[in-house]
Amino acid sequence: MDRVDESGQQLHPQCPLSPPSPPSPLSLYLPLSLFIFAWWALAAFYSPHALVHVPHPSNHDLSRSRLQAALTGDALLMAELIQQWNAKRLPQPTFTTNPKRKKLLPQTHVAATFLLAIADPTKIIALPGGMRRQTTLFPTSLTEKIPLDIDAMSSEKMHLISPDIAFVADYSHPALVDLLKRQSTDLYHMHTPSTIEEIREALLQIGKMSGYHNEALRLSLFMEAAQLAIDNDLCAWWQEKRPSAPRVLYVTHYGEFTTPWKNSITWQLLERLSNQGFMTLLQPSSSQSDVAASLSLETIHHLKPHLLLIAVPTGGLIEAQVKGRLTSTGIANNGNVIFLQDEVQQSPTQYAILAYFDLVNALKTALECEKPAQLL
Amino acid sequence: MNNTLFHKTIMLLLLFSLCLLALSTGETPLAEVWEGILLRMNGTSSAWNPLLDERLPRLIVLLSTGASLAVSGAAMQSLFQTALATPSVLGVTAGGSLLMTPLILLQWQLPFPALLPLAAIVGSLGTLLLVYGLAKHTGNLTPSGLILMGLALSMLILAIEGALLYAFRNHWQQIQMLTELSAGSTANIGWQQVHMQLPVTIVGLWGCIYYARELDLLSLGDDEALSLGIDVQKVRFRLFLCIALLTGAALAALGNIIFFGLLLPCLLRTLYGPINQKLIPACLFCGAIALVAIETLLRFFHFNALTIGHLSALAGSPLFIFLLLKQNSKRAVS
Repeated sequence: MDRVDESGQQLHPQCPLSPPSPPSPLSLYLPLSLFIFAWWALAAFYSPHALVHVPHPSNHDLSRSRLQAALTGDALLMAELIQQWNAKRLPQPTFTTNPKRKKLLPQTHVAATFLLAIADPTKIIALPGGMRRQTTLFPTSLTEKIPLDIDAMSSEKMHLISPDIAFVADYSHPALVDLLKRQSTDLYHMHTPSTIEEIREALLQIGKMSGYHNEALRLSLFMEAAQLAIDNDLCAWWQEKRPSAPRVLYVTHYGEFTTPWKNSITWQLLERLSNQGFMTLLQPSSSQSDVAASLSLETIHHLKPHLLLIAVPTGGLIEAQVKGRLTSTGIANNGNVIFLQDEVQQSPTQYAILAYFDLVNALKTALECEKPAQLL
Repeated sequence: MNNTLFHKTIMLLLLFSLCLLALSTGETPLAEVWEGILLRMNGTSSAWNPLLDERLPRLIVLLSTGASLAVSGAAMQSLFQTALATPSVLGVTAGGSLLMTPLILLQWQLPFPALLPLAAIVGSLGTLLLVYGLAKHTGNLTPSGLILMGLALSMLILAIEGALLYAFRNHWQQIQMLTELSAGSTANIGWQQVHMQLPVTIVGLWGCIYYARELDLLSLGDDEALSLGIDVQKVRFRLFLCIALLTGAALAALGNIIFFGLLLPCLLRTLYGPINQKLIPACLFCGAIALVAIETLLRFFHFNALTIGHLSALAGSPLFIFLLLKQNSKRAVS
């Protein structure tokens, strides 16, 4: 730094007014930048890598891919699986049904998921935003048949297409609902289901309103049969292995570990398993029903779960990061951490059965590990 | 002299006790924690320890962030000669988070964590230079001119950020991640955040302490500083850089904690006077103390829905309004 006096002349270093001698730009910026970048490089070099093997839930008697395909609406597969599970034959519907609607507009994620499984996809006008990205649940081959996205549809476009029926929710944009009303489109208001029973009820209602009642009934019965089959499979396995019920902690992870909402489907499924004695469900003291509580690693460590279930977004990046963190804590070293697909766990649709399947499978996989219960 | 020594002793004692409290507060019984530490020190165990692997990094991040925000606030208030100038008011924090947002939405911070502080620092520095440059260009380098320019740029940044979030609105998981990372929560703090923040904070704090005397001279005005031998442009740029380093690193490690840089320097200026050679070390210590105290209280009372960021904003906004009204009434009297 050059120090100058009022006339612009350089001040003597010993001048009482002058500040201490400043460093030159090169000698200032270079070592400081090197200090920061060297620190970051060293930290990256010594950061824990995800070397630990975290088991993925294995397929036992039931096949996950076949279950998912059936829940996506494959009628033949549904029948085959039901036969395999020795369940009752699906009753043939004897009632008259509404005529099938030709232009269906599912404005909510739940309605769209149901309609993709029960209706002819070419009759669905548009999909809600984000569904095409969930390729784990909705294959591209299926969503490609529906060319439009609701988010990108203008009022004029909506007017031109003029849907027969639209499925809207309480949170739907009032302007869109108004527009549909003005176009004399039939509107069906639906609530987001919060239990398996409500899911099946909503499915039947959507089937009835869209004219696909038989298909909806079939899927609803398949959901019931699949849930029973999963329960039976678990009971049979439990009687054979006779393990002790593990202490299970379920968390989601995006940026930090959080407890699930107590009204979520996943929580209810976990409580169901817990009430039947298959696990002890851990609830951090700080968790509340309506607020997601953030959990520190110490809290997780302190709860000493035998099995830590972590729902993460599909893609692998977050999973790898979490594995790295858990490896350094020693939590993930005993095969007691299992990652679940967040998209499946968060879906209040027929895929709740797939979520249940994943939870049960995770439980079985963890208990089958060589060191099942000394863990933390 | 005795009074200063007394203050220093009190501050050090307070800092020490709070650190002890923060390190000893947790679910795991102390005996178990201590046993783990002894085993690790003996080399007989490398097991994860809540104190060494979570509470200690969290404490370091809180100390660094508290010191960073308070010191950068004090430096900005002296540089711009107004108590209203802080990183959040002049849009520096918004600029930093603007560059962090696409990184988080694209999840680039997961494989390359150092990108996050780097983006935050670049964004903070860019915004600070832009606010100052535009205010100077329009000949409105007054406190109110700077604040208005800061607010205008903040609006622009918010609009860009809004557009980004709108474009990514279907990526709800990334948006959730963004919410969690920018809320000022300490739940996810580990050694990674320490490594991201600490070297940058050391450099930034060193810079502010090193230039504390120049900051005093600059607070008299550019002409006075120049007449006293200061290369105003160069010193100002270096101080801007220090402020960006401190704000950016804090933003990347802990998230958005707005108004913290406003509150503390204002209170400390009434205690220690406006001389930065005294004020900056005081801000450093008191900032660190205050943030650790707030976090310990939140942890103690299990306020799950609130983070340090929220509390700071709730407490800082009324003070900002009060200062604004006070400034206006002063102007009316004069």
